[in-house]
Amino acid sequence: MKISSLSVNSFKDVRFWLLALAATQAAVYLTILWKVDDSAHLGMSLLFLAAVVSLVGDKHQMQQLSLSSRPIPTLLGGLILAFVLVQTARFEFNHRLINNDFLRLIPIVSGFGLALVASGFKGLKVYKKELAILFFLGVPSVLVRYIADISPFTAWFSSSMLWYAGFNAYLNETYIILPPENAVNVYEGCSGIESMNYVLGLSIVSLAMFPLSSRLLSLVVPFIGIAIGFVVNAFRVCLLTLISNPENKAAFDYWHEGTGSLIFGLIAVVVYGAFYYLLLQIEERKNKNLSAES
Amino acid sequence: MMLGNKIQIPLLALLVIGTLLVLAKVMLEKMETAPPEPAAMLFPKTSAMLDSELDK
Repeated sequence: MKISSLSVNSFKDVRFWLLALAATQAAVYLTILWKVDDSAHLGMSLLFLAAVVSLVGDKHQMQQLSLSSRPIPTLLGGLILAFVLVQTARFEFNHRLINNDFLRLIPIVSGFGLALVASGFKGLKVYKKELAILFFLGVPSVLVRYIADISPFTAWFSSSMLWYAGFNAYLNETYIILPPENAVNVYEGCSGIESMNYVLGLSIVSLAMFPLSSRLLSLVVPFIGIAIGFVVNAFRVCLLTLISNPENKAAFDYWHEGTGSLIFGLIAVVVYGAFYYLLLQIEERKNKNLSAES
Repeated sequence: MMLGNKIQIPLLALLVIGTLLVLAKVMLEKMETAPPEPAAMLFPKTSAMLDSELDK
């Protein structure tokens, strides 16, 4: 829809209102993330939302969208979206908002409501890929908070890596100790769970946008994504242990909370991207060989 | 036209207006200043400090 073609008739077009609602909901969600300074999740949300827009755009071009709904799903979707609005309006803007569970659930709940209003219950089937992407944007990170703390395992893995690399590191509960004066305590926030969640989500995005023909590989890829996120974070913990003496405080802060901490997220994404690109290349070569044989 | 389709546009228009109001509220809202930084999630301690802590 070009801006020049916007007329009174546009307001009678349900597509116009669906687009306006999706855009404003996304604007509210992204503004909150920007305000609470959650730059890692803001970047990931932009990427995931771009993937959803691309998939819906493809469906629209191929005329696979049926924008008609019965009264019950329409009203149910409206109620869900209204609930999201009320909850969002009640947010208190303080430092605790960054850990708010509902903030992470907004994309999937809004997506669910929009799909119901747009296409009714069958919309949940039509938009299953888009809803899966929105699900993996926030739900795993909320669930994992209540299920397990993997920081003891991260500490054990990182201290083992240091030990195998020839350092005299040893573990005491979640403390990695590197005599004479280096030691770190691996807390929940540094366990790598966030990195694992992001790469898991990224694997779902890549599978939705560039599907693999092998079902087995499609099932395995998310687990490999999780492993990449975990191992890259373990390298970060090793680096932090090596520089964790009082003389290196500035360097430690840079790699712990500064730009350096984001670089490891970038490394995890690049490693996963290279891995998936390799898989696609192998599949393409296989398909070429098969078609050449036949 | 189905009844669902008839109520779609008014419902969506209401939701768009509501979302715009919430967007304005979110944009105008000021962040409360954060309290002093909590202890780092992963912080350096010397082995001597750790040993004395573990002895306790």
